[in-house]
Amino acid sequence: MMRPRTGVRFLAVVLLGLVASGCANLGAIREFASTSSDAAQYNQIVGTYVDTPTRLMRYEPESQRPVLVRQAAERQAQREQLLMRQRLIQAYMDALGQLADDGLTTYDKQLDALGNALQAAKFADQGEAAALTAVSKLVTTAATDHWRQGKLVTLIEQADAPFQIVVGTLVVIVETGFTTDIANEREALNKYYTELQRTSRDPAGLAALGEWREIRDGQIRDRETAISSYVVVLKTIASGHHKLYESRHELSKVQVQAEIHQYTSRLKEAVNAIRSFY
Amino acid sequence: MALTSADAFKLSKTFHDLSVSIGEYRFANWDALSEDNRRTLEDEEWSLLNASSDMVTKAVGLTLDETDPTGQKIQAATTAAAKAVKTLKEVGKVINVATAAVALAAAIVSKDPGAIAKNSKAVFDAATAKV
Repeated sequence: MMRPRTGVRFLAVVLLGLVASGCANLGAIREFASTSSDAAQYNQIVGTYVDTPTRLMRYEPESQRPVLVRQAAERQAQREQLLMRQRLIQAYMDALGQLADDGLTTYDKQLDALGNALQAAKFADQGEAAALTAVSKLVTTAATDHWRQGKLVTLIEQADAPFQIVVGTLVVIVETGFTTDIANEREALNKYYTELQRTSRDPAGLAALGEWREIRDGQIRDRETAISSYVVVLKTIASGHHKLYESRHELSKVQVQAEIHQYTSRLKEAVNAIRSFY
Repeated sequence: MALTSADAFKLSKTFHDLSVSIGEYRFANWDALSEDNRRTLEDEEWSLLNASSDMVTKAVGLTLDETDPTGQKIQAATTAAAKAVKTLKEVGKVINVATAAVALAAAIVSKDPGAIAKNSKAVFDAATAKV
């Protein structure tokens, strides 16, 4: 929550900006979009999930090795689809920010590559596949048709429903899947070290084991914090965008911009938490 | 009822809990267990933990929707198993529940409907057998 004094200061800055420019100052939207774009791109979160079976090899007995090797290959095959979701959110937010800034959205080969990759990828959920395509097409259209600030409302209006599906799916994957995954790693660490500590009779060895356990435990705790912060990032991006949708006909109003600024502040806090670990 | 990604997420949690419960049993009864029984329980714990990871992978890939029925039966059987391990005293019965759950997990991974149904029943029977 924004403190009252901070809020007043922000409103004053926005008002001054409006008076000075004489045109629609959508600075708060531009800042929300740019912070969202930066925040969504933490691909280390995906890397942590993909590499879990490989990290588990450290703890599990040799008899489980073939299973972990298979799992590592399966996770590797999922990497690109997971990264694509992040890249699309980033590309969309870049386009949103550029329109809010009354600039032309950048059309580059990466956008083309993303669109092609999305079409080639086989997303099992048809609803999600359609949503990914819809958002990707909007971003491409904004670039190829040289949309400017006047088209911002159109972009928000047409994107909100599919964008909520795209971000919502990623929220479920991270909040449920990645969290269970890290819980499995914590349990693997627990089994491994508890057994070693029970069977060891060497005091120096036990002391070293205790220290290693603490270090590994800390690494897992850091990953847990990064995952939960990334969930906050995704949920804030989704709710912030929906707020834009609800307020789409009064985006230049000071009150709306102040509200959007609160979403940006929440995003920055969550990003800072992730940055401490990655 | 098809096994959906939501089912797979639930199963990942249940297999995780089952592995944790069997581990707690093994460490709580460490001195009373024979080395063979400790080893057997530990093997099942790792298999169940890896089964949980398999369910996460499947749910994330949203690829389970084509698998046929029994989502609710599997969930009921594995939930009963997780509860049973917390109350069972006899190591033989804990091993029976663990072994049946591992076989069920393998059947789910291999998408064998017959084996899934058979092993769901085996898990449920082992979990609800009188103490």
